[in-house]
Amino acid sequence: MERDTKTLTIDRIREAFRRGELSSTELVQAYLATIEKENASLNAYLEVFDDVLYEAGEADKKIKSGGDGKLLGVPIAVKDNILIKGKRAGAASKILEGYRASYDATAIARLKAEGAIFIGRTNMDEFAMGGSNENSAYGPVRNPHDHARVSGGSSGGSAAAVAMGSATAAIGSDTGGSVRQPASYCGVVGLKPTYGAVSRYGLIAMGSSLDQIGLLTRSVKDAEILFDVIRGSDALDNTTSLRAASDGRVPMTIGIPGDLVSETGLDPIVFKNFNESVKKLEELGYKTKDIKLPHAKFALAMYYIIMPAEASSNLARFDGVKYGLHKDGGNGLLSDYLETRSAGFGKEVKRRILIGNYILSAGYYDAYYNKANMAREMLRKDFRTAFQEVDLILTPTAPTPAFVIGEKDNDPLSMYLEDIFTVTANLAGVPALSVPFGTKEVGGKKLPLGIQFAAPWNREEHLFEVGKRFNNE
Amino acid sequence: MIERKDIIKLAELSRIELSAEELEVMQKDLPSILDYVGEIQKIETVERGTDSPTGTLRRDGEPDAPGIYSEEILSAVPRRKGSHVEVKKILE
Repeated sequence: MERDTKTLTIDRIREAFRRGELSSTELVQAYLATIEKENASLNAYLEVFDDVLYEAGEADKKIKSGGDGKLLGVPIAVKDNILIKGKRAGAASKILEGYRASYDATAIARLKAEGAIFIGRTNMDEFAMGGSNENSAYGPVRNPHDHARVSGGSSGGSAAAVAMGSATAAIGSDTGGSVRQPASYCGVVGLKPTYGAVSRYGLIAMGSSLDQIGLLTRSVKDAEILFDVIRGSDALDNTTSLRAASDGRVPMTIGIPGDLVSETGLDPIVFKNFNESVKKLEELGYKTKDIKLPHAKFALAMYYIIMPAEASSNLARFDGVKYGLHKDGGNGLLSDYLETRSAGFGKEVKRRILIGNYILSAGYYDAYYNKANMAREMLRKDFRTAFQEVDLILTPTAPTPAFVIGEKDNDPLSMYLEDIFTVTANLAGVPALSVPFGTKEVGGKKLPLGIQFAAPWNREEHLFEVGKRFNNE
Repeated sequence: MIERKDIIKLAELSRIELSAEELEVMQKDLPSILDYVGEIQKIETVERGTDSPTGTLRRDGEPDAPGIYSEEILSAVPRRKGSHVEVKKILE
């Protein structure tokens, strides 16, 4: 049994467990050794759980006695904004300092029910606000492929944890690309399911009409296995719905929004690499077709209205009274609020709260928030129209490979532009999958690139079907 | 155009106190971001927006017995007095 932790997928691990060639304890020990070696420089984990070896031992006993569970003894890393009962959870923010979760997120409860164990909580952009993981209150996550570069974000710690070979898979959250973009930067698979496919109960909310729990894995098959475990309706998140039965279609036609994916605005290597992905899909027998998504060029503008509006409302609950940080401001309750929130929130979070409250204020509400929601409906219509002609839509996951840490520090807009291909899926609510494909070589380092497939609502199976073939699985 | 006094007012409403340095950064960033997102004014919209594409309400079932989660929730409160959340005076 080889012990290269960077190549072990769920199927192979379970097979090795079954044959007695590997135990969950040994696997966890191998992962812990990797963390020991890499985490000081990468900063992917905020905490490694002290009970992980105990849990692995318990799983080993169950494996020996023939226990079942699709993920029995499989170690998974968890983004710091998803609650595990009794564990610290902080969304990488000072304002949640000291907070311990009082319940399990539904996704966590479902993973536990299948026997998964949790290795640690991963670093992220504070409250999932960012595309580089530089907005964490606990320092940036570095890219395992080039330590001078960002991991991507906001699920940067989860992406780096899988890429460095310290967990079989990780769960994250995706509001505008926060699973897929770091997956692309770190060379792993990233899935954002359909809005409503996975319960967000126990996910610390950012933009509630956009947020979705997603997966970072080593293979498309692993994403499929985990998705089947965590998906499904939940009385505790009323956006979840029973999944429509498969339409029985085999995806054959792939749409390419040519006006969106053009040489301008794209790294030339990313553009060339994208064209190679199209060629590969054609060689696999898929038909490709140019399509139009006329409102997609406004998607970022819509997103940076709707998301801060919702985030400013969601973050109003952090007041130093109910949980987390409390700072005494002197006179009266208001001074405590001001002191706590000013000390507890980071720069980007403050920026988005201010923008959100501006957009929602009387006089601007119609011009920004209502208009953005109407525009969003036009974008959804673009997708509905496109999916009458094609089964999937193909774009690069991000316009560039991972950039150098600090490069976009003083330019929030250029940082926001990294989300250009990913936000559309959140606005439309459709599922999307990032699959590693190609690299860009810079200074002797091979930086991973990703290709993104988007499918119609609730058609994750199309993503898995094409994704597995595309990824040579 | 968003002015310095608007940002100060906005921060106050957001229950955030900005340092002089933060205020300067916001003054630089906010106008350019609002200018960028203002692009959506160019879209001809016809349909009404919806808040969420899905949504099902659940029935009011049997409520939990009173108090079974109280201690767990209260244990997270930074300032508590017995079974109460303690806050400062609001009205003088």
